[in-house]
Amino acid sequence: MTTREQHLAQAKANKAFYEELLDRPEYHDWALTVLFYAALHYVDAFLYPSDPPDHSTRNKLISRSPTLRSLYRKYRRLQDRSQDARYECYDPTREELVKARQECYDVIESAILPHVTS
Amino acid sequence: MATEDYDLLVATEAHPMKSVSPADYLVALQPAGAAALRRTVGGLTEVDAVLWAMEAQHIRVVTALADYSDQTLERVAEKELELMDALPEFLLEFRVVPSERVPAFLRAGYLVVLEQRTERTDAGETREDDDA
Repeated sequence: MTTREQHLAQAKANKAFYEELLDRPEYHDWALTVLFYAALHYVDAFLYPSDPPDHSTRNKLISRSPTLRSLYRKYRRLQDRSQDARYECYDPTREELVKARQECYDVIESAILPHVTS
Repeated sequence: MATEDYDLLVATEAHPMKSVSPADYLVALQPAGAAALRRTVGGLTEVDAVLWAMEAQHIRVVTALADYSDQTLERVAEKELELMDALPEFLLEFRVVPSERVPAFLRAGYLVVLEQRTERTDAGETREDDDA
């Protein structure tokens, strides 16, 4: 099973990769996906030792946690937009990527970090 | 003072659109109808029956939005939370897509929920927008 520390490390690595992709317009679609998966690993770090095997299960666990439930609107928006990027060829601008980070990812990260770091 | 709200329309390839309230939403999903479901799985609660039928039929749900803005995506997410509370296990798959993608999802066997913008008055009367 993946440990909480591994989830946190993966979240940070994904976030760093997102920052690199910000300056690579040809990969802005993937920047959105990477940003979503950074948020996902923060969620999984919070849910540990639960180990949701898929998005549907994870979303149900989010809905049952008072802390995570308040973040669901932002989390789900990132999930929807990343699906758009992968399946609908949505190509976000740099401004949209920054907005997604500020309005969604940053909110999720700052809410979860106090619960998962000692 | 009028406030905005949304009604739900449910469509499948075999059935025309049907206007439903959120409370009717899960029952309306069933092609055979709620009564037939109760006969089929008599003894189970309605919630169990819907669950059973959805698992048996592997129903996948997509919400189609004409207004595909970040704000509307977040409103749908909130509605999804309410549905998860009512029936925690029903979401086999739940996606949100722009409305122009509806035909493809119908052909693929998805059940499509169309978000239709309405104007709701304090008296509870609703009026559909012309471009809904």
